[in-house]
Amino acid sequence: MRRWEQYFTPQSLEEAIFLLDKYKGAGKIIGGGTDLIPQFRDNKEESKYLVDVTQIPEMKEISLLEDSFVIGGAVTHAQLAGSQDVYNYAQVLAEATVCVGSPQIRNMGTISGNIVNAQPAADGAIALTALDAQVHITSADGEKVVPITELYRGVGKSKVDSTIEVISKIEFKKIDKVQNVSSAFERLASRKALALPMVNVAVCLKTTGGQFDWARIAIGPVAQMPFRPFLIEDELRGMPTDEESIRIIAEEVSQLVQPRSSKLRGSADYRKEMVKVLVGRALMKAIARLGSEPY
Amino acid sequence: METRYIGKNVDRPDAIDSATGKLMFCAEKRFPDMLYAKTFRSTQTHAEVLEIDVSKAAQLEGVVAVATAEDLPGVNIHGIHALDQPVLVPVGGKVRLPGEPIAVVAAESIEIAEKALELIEVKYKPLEVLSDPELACLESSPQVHDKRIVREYEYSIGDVERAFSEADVVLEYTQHLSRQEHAYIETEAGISFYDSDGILTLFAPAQEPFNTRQQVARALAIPESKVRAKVPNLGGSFGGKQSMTVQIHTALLTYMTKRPVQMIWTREESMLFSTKRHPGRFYYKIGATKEGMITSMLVDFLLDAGAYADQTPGVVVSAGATAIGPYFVPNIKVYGKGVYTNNPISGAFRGYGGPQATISVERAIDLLADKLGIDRVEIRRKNGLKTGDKPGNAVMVLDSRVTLNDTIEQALAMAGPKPMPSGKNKKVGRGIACCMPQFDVSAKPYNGLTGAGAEVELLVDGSVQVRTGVVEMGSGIKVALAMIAAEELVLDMNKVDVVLSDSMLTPKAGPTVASRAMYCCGNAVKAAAIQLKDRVNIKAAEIFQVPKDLIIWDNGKVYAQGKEDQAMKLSELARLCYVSGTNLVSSIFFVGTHAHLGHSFCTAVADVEVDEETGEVEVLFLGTSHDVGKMINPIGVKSQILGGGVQGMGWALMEDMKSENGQIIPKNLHEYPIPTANDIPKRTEIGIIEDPYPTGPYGAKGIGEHTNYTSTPAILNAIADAVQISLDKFPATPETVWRAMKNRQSDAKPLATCPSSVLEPSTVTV
Ligand SMILES: Cc1cc2nc3c(=O)[nH]c(=O)nc-3n(C[C@H](O)[C@H](O)[C@H](O)COP(=O)(O)OP(=O)(O)OC[C@H]3O[C@@H](n4cnc5c(N)ncnc54)[C@H](O)[C@@H]3O)c2cc1C
Repeated sequence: MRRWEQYFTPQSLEEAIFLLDKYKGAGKIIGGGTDLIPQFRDNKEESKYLVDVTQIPEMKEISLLEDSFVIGGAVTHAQLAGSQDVYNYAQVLAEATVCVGSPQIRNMGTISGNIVNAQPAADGAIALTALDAQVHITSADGEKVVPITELYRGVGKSKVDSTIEVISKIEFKKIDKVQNVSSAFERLASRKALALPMVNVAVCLKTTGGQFDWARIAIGPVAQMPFRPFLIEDELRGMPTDEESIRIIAEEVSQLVQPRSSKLRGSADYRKEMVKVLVGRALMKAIARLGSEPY
Repeated sequence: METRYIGKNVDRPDAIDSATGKLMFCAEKRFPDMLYAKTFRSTQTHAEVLEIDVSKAAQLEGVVAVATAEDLPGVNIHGIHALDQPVLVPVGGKVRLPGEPIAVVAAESIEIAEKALELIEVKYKPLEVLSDPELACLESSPQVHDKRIVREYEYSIGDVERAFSEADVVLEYTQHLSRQEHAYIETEAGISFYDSDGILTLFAPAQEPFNTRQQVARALAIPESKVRAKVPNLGGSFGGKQSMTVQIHTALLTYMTKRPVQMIWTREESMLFSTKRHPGRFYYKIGATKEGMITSMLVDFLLDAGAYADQTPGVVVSAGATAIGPYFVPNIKVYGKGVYTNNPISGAFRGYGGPQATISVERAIDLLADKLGIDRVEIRRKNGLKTGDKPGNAVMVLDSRVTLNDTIEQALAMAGPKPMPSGKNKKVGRGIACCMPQFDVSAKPYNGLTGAGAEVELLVDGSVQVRTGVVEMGSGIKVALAMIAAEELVLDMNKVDVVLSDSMLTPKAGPTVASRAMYCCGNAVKAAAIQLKDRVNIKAAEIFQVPKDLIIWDNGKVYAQGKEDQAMKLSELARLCYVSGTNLVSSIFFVGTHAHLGHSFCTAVADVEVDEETGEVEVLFLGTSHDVGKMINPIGVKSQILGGGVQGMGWALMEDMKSENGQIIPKNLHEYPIPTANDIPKRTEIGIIEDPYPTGPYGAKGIGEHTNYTSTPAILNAIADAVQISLDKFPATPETVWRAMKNRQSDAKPLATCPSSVLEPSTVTV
């Protein structure tokens, strides 16, 4: 196991940025450490200075605004899974984060760590991908806002360079049934806790008069990053929200994805088939959540 | 009979500390001046070691000793049933599986020790790998040891061939068994040091301290009297910590450096090199009348011993003895063997071969019932063993009144009606499985486990210390023995302390294996307490001037019957005994009186719901009925039953320590799932049948392993019932079930064929 030399707990974002700037690449942001510490243990990480962002008050907040959510960069999975606001207005994120690891992991692990660790099936990131989240990234050079889909360079490789920049907050539109918008999450794993998904699917959608206005579908792990079938999403605008259409959509998505075979997490043909099942179920569930909505 | 403690729930005194993380384990201890040890392990699966160069490692600053086979003063060999495993593989020797230790390093820190490993150079000449046990006996296959078969088992009675020709129905079936990891929370760890008397002292988890003492002394060529082995708090074993792990290595490094040495295996090392549950294959041919009476059974089984014999000799015999199941069968032929391969070493795992046999026979019985068109419960009722019947092996006698059917009826009553599916694409199934597990009763002819020593000492402050050599493996033996002493001496539990598993302090009592600790040590402690009380009563009778059978013990006071007002404190009586020359330490070496093993019956019923689209299986209900003789501590018995049931469920649904060409695939607990608290079945029921077993302490039988036999086959049978798939291979992961459902129609299964070995068993070789 490698070890860092110094560990900082800044109380403000400015202080955190100052520390990163000071160590010029030898420092690194740490959230809950649930990905980073195992990487130290396996000698895959060698930052000398760790900058812990979990004591910065504004990064720990979940704020529900008029029509959007702002999630602080150091908000934990437990916070998201336990928030009534998130449950009411971003159910897909509540459902996804409650699946992460175990209570211990959810208490420590943060949503930004889930994005920056860049695993194609990270549960929180899959939900945020369907939510079309905008990620606020701050560095000594200032702040930029980037859609989550543009933050991936490859499996385990993020465009966010946490040796110089911090995800300060994440923003997305709220999912409001009153506007006929709804969401859902589905996941298949080898057991009921502490298991990475064989397949996970998040959807957000809007309907009008029994037809899809739009839908966003995020699927993992079937590509280098959380995968969105943009073409099919375009195609389904205007399609009826009945079982048969959903079956066709799910089938098409499944034809499109190219999951890998894993000795531990399922072979490609099984995963492909499960994408069909879970996309179908997630869409059905989201539509059912609109309840009274007439066809 | 009104009891004080026996049969009442008593919490384990260490329960809160274990649950809150306060209990200290070997890996957490630090001694002054302590060195940290690490193992250099083979990366090859099967290879000759040509050269070992540790010179660079030895020169690294902070490295205090590097040991190879050359540094071992004694015999470079260890093993339990057969001595075939090197302590450290020497130059000119062979590595037979990945992870075999070649050198060990002691350094001032773990980091330095790890760095030193990188500086060790070993040259190998790779040899062909044998990974398929089915090929192990072929002349053309690579040879792992001089002999190919570790152990054979043979049992026959009647004339199976004739019975098959006369049977109305004959079923053939082959069950494949996957390899299971014990997955105990505590990885292997130990500390060794010289005490002030120059005794090489070793703290390390194991299932018996005396075996550690013997093996360490042999390897270091020092008398056993110069070695003290103590098993401190142990974080799970399930059979997996019987063989030598860290012990000889840390002891050797202490021997060389004269300093305390600690070695802790990482989870990866533990999974790489700990023993596993034997994978294998069981072939069945069963003949029956059309009414469903089984007339004959032919069994041919093969267990993969892996690279060393370890416990295979015992496991083969135990599997053979369980192969016929809890049924009366007049014509039997069982042949089985364990063979060497270059796969992970198979050892003891809760049930010791019995669960493998039980899964296989219980799947086969279901298929036989289906073929006959008879109800799957009915066929078990019809053929279940009854008191006095001859079981299908030579090591058991049905000497208790409980029958298989008692457990079947209790389990079914607990199950109630079969649940309804929770939605569309869901199918519900129910499975039943029965067994007759064995337990050791310290009976002379078996296993060399004979005898269990215990001491009970009355101290002059009126407190009592119980000492016996068995190990607390989490099954609650420590509190149960305290209950027995407190019961016999009519004391409060807090006046009794139990000291276990220390080769210098406790009498030899055999290992905690074979579900024997309660039966053997329970009997020993009970007899020792009675003996002690009797001795003290002689003095009390003298003091109170009454015959000794009128002396009454009552919660730390002693008086003559009817004269409670003149009671004397037990502490005072103890003092008087001591000053007048009464020996206050009583000592018993319990040896069983039976000429056979103990047995019990068990039936499990499981309900599952299968998702037809994903193949996911949810266990809705698991209920097991156990014939336990008598519960000493009911809460302990019931938690054993629940835990064993869930462990068996893990094997049925998710656990598979796969290997390819000798290399294991899951490398840590992330890649090898076991059930979590969330996976425990929605509804569980535990049924207890108490009919005191005459020779057991208060009537108790063994239970620890028995809990791990039936949940696996009950769940597999339930899945087969729900979605009509074969499950001749498991675990039933979602993908396995999904694939089997997909292939349901196209998969016109060819009949299993009889392996040739049934016809020509070779001679027994161990
Ligand atoms: C036992 C176990 C089970 C797990 N199960 C799951 C699971 O079921 N599903 C799942 O999705 N994940 C799972 N994980 C992975 C992990 O818990 C999550 O990815 C978690 O969200 C990581 O967050 P963290 O705060 O712990 O990240 P850290 O380990 O602290 O950091 C991870 C990376 O993100 C960077 N980083 C962290 N915060 C910021 C920030 N604010 N700005 C910029 N960069 C940042 C760090 O520099 C580092 O590169 C599991 C992990 C473990 C150990």
